[in-house]
Amino acid sequence: MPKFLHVFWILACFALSSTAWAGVLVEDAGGHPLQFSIDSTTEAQWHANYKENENQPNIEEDDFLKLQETLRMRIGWERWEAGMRLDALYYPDPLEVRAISPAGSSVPSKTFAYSKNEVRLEKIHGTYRDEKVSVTLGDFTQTVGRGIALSITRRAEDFYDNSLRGGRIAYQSDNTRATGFAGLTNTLNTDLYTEKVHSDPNDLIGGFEIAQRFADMATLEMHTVACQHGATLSRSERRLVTEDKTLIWGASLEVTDIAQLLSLYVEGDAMTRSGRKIDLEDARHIRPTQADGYAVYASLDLYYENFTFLGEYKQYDTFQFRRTKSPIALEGRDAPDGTIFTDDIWYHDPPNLEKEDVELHLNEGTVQGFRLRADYFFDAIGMQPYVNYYFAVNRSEKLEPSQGGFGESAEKGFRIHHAYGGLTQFFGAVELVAEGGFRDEYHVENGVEYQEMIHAKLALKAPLAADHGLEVEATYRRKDEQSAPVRLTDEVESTLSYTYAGRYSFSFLYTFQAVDLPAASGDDTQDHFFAGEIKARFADWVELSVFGGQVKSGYRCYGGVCRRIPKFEGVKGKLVLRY
Amino acid sequence: MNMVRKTWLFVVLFAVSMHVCAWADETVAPIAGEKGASALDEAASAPAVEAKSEKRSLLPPDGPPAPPFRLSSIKGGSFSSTKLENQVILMAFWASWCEPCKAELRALQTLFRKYESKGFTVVGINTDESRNKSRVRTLARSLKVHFPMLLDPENAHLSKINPALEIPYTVLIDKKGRIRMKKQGYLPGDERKLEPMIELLLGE
Repeated sequence: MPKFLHVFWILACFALSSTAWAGVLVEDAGGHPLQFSIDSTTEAQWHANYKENENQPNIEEDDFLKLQETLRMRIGWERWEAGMRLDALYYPDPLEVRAISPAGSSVPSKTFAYSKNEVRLEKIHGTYRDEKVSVTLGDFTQTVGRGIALSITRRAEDFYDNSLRGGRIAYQSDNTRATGFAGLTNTLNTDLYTEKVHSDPNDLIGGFEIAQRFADMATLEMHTVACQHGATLSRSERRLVTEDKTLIWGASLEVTDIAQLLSLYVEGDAMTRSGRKIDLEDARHIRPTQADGYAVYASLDLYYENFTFLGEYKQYDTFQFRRTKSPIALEGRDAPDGTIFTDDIWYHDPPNLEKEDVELHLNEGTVQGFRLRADYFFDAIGMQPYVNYYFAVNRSEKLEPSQGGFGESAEKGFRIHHAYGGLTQFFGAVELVAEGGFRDEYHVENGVEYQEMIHAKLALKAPLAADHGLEVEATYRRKDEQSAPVRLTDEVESTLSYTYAGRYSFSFLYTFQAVDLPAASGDDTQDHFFAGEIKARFADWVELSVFGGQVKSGYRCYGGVCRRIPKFEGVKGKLVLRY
Repeated sequence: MNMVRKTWLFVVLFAVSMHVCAWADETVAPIAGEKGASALDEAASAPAVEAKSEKRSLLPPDGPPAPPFRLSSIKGGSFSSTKLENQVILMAFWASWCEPCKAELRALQTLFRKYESKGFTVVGINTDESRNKSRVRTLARSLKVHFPMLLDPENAHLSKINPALEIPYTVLIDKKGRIRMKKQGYLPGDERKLEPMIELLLGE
């Protein structure tokens, strides 16, 4: 790439989103409008303390300045539509890493830029759509059933925008639905949190789904999904891919509004995977493996006047579907601060029944569990209390592929109880939310681990005078972990936000984290994190925000994918333009 | 200052100057329907919304066509935008984890009940992942909303209307299927500002 292409590209993006292009709406001779929309997000970020926060001695320069542009364009004419997403990254002041030579080596230590200037066409698609048929070429998202067999979705602006790049044809009438698709998995290549650029998994996924609705209340659906992992890799490279082929087939039945009282859903899936067991100490020693798994999910929801009830059951056995795991596909995944995906990108997203804003167990491939939830709305006093209980267990003692095995026996298992409840109370326009719960976990994995957690949340939303709004939220979490390292963590997070007319908002975030370790270690820590954000929405098409301060590192989960986010300290400016 | 930094400084200055010019050049008419926030504020401050001419100023006279859709309903089966022809539609995007969205849905139920018989409807579009569908159904029941509730688990429809995927996000569509107002976020009381706009569109 020419040296300054990224700079000129970002410049072009700015120019494109300037007033000269604003509001392009052209009509053809027949009066059919040609729609052209642009969504441009430009960010300037200055990060400080990258090294100190993560204790990484090999990072040479711990401050860096990043400018990034995400440009989405869409053009539509009658039944035709095309769109794309372009990402550009430029580091005027890059993050630098020092490769330290071993002691005694004659090779001098070397410093190089860890981050990379980049312009990339992330997504592109074209679609024809009429009343019942749609045909897409390029990037598309696809879910099958409840996401047990397949879930390729876009969930978050920054780091979770997965798609299949290929083709799809879909038919949908009032009572019949049929979809056929095939494509290579296309994840975001520019990791906007770790500053790394990595390659696509290029797993080839194809599938077919057909559903028919009967008597206006029952829907029977059948599907199959197949995957060739590392489809674009050479033969020698593919030898290093753990997975080879995955085949899933299943069916579901949904019956809704039975006697205006209840709805039912049942889905069953079977999976066959073939792969390779690679001896890490001797890469020549590769043997084929195969595993069969299944997944069953059922739910029942009842409703009677102001009462609603939800019961869900899951039983998954050696059922995991994720991106290729290989030294090749993992290229560049790890940041120098150790920030990594806690596991791979999943190609499916089965119901986990968890309270995801408190704790999320990763996509467990072998687990049984259920959730019961009930709530009631008291009209007269404007109160809606709820109770929820979740139980999960893994008695199978099977290793998951992510632990290096395909259903092989091991000393592993867990049991989880999680009970919580709360209420929402309305005092006119003022809304108060209070909830709390207790979670108890017992694990057998490399010895016995035990963990208890209590959590509580209090939130208040109040409109002040006309156009002024105030929100206060505080959460508390105490986690008592009896696994190495034994520790007790107290965490308080509070947010205070003031909004004016939906146009201006000021937010203040404060987090306190205290970690108590056993007396012998003497490494107890107490940290305070302060941050603030000012956001101005000058019009519906322009938004400017400035965020400054510190945010603690931690797990963030989107769409069933969780990862550890590094601690941030610095300033971020963001300009969003939409036409 | 090295060459790279100079180049970047130039880029930033150029971009800022272009956008300053853009804001200054208010005489360039933006695409209709893209001034929803302004319209909301005008609605709030309009002293006499009864005056038809003043009402008319709440919304742009025209707007881009709303993208058609066919989505699954939480009651099962599919729901096509063709079923809503010649109606004034308020499309509200929401998710089970979004507290302001739930408050907005409750408020929109009041509007739905008030104007339903006059050719107005609300369509709730849930953006939760497929795995949460059962939870979404019970939640919709507990919110006691009676307008159509559809599912967009891959954000396919939301992407077309709001590529940044922010919710709550509300779109007001006229009888000709044109987007006349877009609004991000919800504050208690916003529904009162929507009323004169709905009345205006019902009268067109």
